[in-house]
Amino acid sequence: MFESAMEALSIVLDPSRMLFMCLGIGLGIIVGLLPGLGGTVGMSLMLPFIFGMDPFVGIALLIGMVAVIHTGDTFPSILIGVPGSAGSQATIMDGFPLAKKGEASRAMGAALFCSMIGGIIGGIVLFLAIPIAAPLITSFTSPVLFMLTMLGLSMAGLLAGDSPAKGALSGLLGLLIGAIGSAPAVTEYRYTFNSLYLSDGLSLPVVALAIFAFPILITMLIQKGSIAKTTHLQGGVLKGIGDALKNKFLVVRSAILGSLVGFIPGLGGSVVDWLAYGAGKKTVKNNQFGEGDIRGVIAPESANNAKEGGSLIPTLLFGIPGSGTTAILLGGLILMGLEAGPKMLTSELPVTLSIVWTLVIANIIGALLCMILIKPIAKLSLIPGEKLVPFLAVLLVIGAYQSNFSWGDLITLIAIGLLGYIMTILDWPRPPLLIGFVLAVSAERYYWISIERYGWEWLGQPVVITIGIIIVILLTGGAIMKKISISLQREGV
Amino acid sequence: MTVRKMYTLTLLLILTLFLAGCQSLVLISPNQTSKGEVDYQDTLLTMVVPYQSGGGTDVFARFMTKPLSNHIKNQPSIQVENVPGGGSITGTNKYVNSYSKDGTNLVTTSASTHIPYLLKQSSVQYNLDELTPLVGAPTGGVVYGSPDLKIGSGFELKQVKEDLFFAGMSPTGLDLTTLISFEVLEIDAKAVLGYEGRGPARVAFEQGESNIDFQTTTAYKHNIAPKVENGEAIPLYSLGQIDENGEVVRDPQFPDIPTVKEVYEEIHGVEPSGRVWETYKHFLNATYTLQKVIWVHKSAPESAKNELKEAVNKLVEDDQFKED
Amino acid sequence: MTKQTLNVIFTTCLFITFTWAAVSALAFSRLAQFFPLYVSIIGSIVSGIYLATEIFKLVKQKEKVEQSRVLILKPLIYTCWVAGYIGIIYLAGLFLATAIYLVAFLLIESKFSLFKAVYSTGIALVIMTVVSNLLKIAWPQGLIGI
Repeated sequence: MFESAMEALSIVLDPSRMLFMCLGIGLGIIVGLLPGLGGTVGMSLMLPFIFGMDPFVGIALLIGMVAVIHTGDTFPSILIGVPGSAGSQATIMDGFPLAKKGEASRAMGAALFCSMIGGIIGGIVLFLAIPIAAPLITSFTSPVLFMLTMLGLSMAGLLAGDSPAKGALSGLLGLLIGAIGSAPAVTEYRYTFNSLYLSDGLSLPVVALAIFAFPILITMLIQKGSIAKTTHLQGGVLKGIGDALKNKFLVVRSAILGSLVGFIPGLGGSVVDWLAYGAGKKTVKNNQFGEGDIRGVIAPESANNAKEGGSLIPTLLFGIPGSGTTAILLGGLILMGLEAGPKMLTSELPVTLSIVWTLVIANIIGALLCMILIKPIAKLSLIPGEKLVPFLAVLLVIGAYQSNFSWGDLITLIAIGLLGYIMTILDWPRPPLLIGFVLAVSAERYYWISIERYGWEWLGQPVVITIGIIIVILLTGGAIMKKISISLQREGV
Repeated sequence: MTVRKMYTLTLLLILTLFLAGCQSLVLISPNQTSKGEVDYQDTLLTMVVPYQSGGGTDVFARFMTKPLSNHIKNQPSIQVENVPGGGSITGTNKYVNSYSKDGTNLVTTSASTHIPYLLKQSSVQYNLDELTPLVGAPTGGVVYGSPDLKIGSGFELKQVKEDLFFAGMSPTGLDLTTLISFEVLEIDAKAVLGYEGRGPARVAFEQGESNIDFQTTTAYKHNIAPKVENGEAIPLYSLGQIDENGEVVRDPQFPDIPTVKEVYEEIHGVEPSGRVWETYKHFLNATYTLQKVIWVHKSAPESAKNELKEAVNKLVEDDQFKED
Repeated sequence: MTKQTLNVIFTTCLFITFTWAAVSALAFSRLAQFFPLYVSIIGSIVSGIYLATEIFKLVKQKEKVEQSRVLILKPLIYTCWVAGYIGIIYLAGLFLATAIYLVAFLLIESKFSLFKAVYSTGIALVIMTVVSNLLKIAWPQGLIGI
């Protein structure tokens, strides 16, 4: 294994392949940077070119692109509070407040450094998981997947803010929005008002842009100021890297969490950043998450790059894509004459290993490239809102249109955007809505399959009970802790 | 009405299926020589794919563009245009409604485009009768079971004591044909629906969540055939192929696996017949034999259609292409 | 309008939505029904309870403290800008609409001089066209087909 890994490294480091990897990295950073464009767009863009390509060259191009999307998408999340892709929403929670304080460079430095480390850890996890992947994946039966979905949903509770009722309603609304479209187990359309656009359900990039980006545009216009409230930018990139190093355990923890969640087939990696953010909020002491705590940037950024490594495992070994990006990657592999499946571990092992190396190398190059860009791009946060917003609005509209190339995308953008704005001014938490939206289909699917297949017996499975206990602790533990701290505070007064 | 449509499809197929056999591509258009000449010089052909890029149909379409273009005079480039949405209905509707019918626009559809048409879903605005099929790629399917069933082949299906569980997506498309085959054989398998695709359904089989499953030709050869060798899966029967007489025959890809028909004959001693059997054949046709089809507007200029047909004829006969 | 009143109105809307969703879910087939039905019933109950407590608070607190007020008109105007932009795209296509929208917005809202507005719009349009061509980004088409 080690020998073949070295062999694969020499294949990857071949100059012509490195050139293609750099091409992929450049593209990945650009599509990550532009709100609304993500891995899916980048992949479909390259698909026509890889037809019949040498697999190693094609892999360098495709994986190089995928690896750095969550490096590039950090910029808009931190600087303007607009998610660069669906995987970097949680970064907004603390990254944007930091930019407001004029510490955009520091946040960017920490974020990029964590992206790099996270990506490398993701690559290592992919490498280590290769021999044990098959039995691991088959251990996720439908009841287990259902309980994991529930665990993800209860994470929404952690992000609910002050009012549990608002948080719960926000999550429920997300689940309901997620139920729009065709039901998973039967071809029946729900809440579609006979519109063909709604029959596929709403797409995540549009909802994410609407719920996070639209409100911030309106807010910026009303406040008529630049994002950074101070006139000069303080705190440099190095300070951010220092912050990341100080929190090395958080980085490693979040990265491992990220790659594990990516690894679980059928859960979808889109909530990874929120899970890492929630877990960080829960475990970091004395935190001020949500008000510009650098650790609130470190946790999701370490996780979202690590996710890619994990999510390649079910894709390559079982041909089960975990996201739109990996779905297209599967198609790309076929076009290059490769077929995902157990063969990727035997006769095609060099390809798999070259994917691991490409992930690691691309993450390093991508992060370094982005660090050079920090200084010029960070100045964006000094531009007054009314001068920046009209251009962002154009970007937002074009970005949203890329999901389905449909007018429905634009109407959804405005409708959900208004909902998001009202929630902002009334202090309703928006993350639960998004988590609910993403997990709705999995929740429905695995609940139904569990009941149909096992009756009520599945509730007795040991794994199911264990996850159930974790959920209860997560939900009540927070409430109890809060009560204790409040009563302590009162006593203190 | 629906039945009539099914017959149209079947007839269309039977008429032109003489090229079927061990080939991976079936020529659907009649072999006529063109008289009018059409000039595709400097024109750009568009291939509409009503799916997101990267899916099975998209990959098929992209595979076809290069060789197809090579066989058209002046070798015009063919660009693939993805129009996703509505489970392929949006894109196909758009093709018939807003793409110009001058023979420069083609569309690739798959089973999930044909089924809503057969079932007369209200959102369908296309009529397959108004499209001319150029070329199609058939696929096959094999039903296999877990060794826990303690049987050696499909002929012993009636002796299974265990409860049968089948993992599927939804009662349409490819799953539907398998479900009807259960009905033909009167197998009492509980269909657990809602899986994300054939891939996750295969994982469910490996987990023991289901114990009877099917996969299409490529997926079976890649993922299940090794399992069969290790004794982790047992092939039960193949869904078969429809021959020129409209009969179900052995799949040339799986000459050693009996078809549904043979299994039925073995169990019941008579040939299958009746409504369920007829329905089975229709769906086998619509979902497998016509799994992926490239069409052009029927009202396109004759000369353009002929040129395209001729290109496809040459393509199917091209030995080099067959090897791919 | 005060924040609290708006909150009550918003919660009422949510309550109506959840209840409506629950009622319409009754018409779905069994396989498609259970999930939206569960979610909307729970949502309807939670929003009902929350609404009741909020109204109760509102009534009790009457004329007591100065409430923080929320802006209605301004956000609406800005939303109309975006909606209007999309509307012009529908009529005139992306390129023309972006030109009109950017110049108008920069002149009226950002108080740019005419020259500066046209100049920045021009640059934006060039960047937009070049990047779109490089990345093959699809543009929404207008009625007149540009």
